[in-house]
Amino acid sequence: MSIRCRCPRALDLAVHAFEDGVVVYDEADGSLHALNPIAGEALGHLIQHTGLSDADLARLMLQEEPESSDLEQVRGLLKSLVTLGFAECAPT
Amino acid sequence: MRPDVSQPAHLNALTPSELAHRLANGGINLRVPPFVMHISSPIPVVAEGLHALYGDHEWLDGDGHFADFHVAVSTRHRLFKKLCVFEMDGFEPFTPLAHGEAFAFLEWGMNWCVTSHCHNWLTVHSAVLEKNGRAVLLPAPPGSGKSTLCAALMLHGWRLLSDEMALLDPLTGFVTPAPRPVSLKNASIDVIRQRAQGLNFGPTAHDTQKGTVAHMQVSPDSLARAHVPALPAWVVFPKYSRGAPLSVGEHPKSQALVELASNSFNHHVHGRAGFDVLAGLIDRCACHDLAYGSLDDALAWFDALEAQA
Repeated sequence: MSIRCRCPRALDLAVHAFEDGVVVYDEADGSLHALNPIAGEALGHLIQHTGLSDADLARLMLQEEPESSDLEQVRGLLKSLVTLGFAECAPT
Repeated sequence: MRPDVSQPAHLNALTPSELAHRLANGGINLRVPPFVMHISSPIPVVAEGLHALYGDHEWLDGDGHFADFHVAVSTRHRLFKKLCVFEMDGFEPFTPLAHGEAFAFLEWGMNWCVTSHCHNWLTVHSAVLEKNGRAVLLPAPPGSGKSTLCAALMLHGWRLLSDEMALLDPLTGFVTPAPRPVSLKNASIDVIRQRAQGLNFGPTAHDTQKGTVAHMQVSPDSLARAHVPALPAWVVFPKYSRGAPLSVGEHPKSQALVELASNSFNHHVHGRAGFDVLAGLIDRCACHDLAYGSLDDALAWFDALEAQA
């Protein structure tokens, strides 16, 4: 089943990317979160877009048509971002 | 005695007994860059420490000088114990300490004044030194050897901006110097004393929460250039281990930013702008882990680092 995700608090988040990872500042509570480069890129896309399906996000990150294993990995990534409160997802 | 008004007077214009008398009777105004502190205390060890460590600092004699902070260390008697209390504007932010810790308490209290009130800077718990216009930040937890390394670097020709706090100007990214005596603990007191030709040490406080504590005077060059800010070029995370060979590695920048922020006293006050300042600093700086067991090896590495830049 495909899912569609968005970043519900994009305006609260400041993201700074380094080669070795991404740091997110959450203005709502002043907390900092270090993400690996891939999770950071995914969050960056969610912040830039009002909503993305898992397949859309995979396409943006891979720059090519994703395979089913790619989609699995992207869903895992989105699950982590949901846990951190950086993403909201719903089945499409 | 009253000095020539055309020249800034220094605290060493006062004899130890004159200083002790003034501290006990109204206090003194002392320029502790970038601040002016009004300090009073009837406790002899406070006068002893100020005379030993702040002799070259500007003393603002007379009334009418503005002081950023009014601080005092006073005696408090509790049953059979003689204690001391630190006050700022009559407020006592800390529980009393043993009387023998009075000078160290003044130093710690002055640190607190800055980190708790001066939010025009973004303050980070870190030593800062500079050479040839480039500054290095040494943020590190207690026990990492930060202060020992900081003292050794100052004695090796680096300019000390602070051994305790980086005062980052959020508009420019430069560090404002706040050179004060370097706080040394336990074995590092003797290690640094052997290297510190011509610099005074203050009174030794025994059995503090940090162990034995003594402060070393700031170098004349560091004090003379206390008005010159410096732009950070490196962030080095030091770790001392007895007998360990020198080992250097790249410190991941994302991790460095999180660690720097966690060592900041007030980045939350600055909000997103504070985050951007710290992120910009890490972007501009090379970040290293430095494990060492020999101060001389570490100093040689810093020399090479500075020469490469």
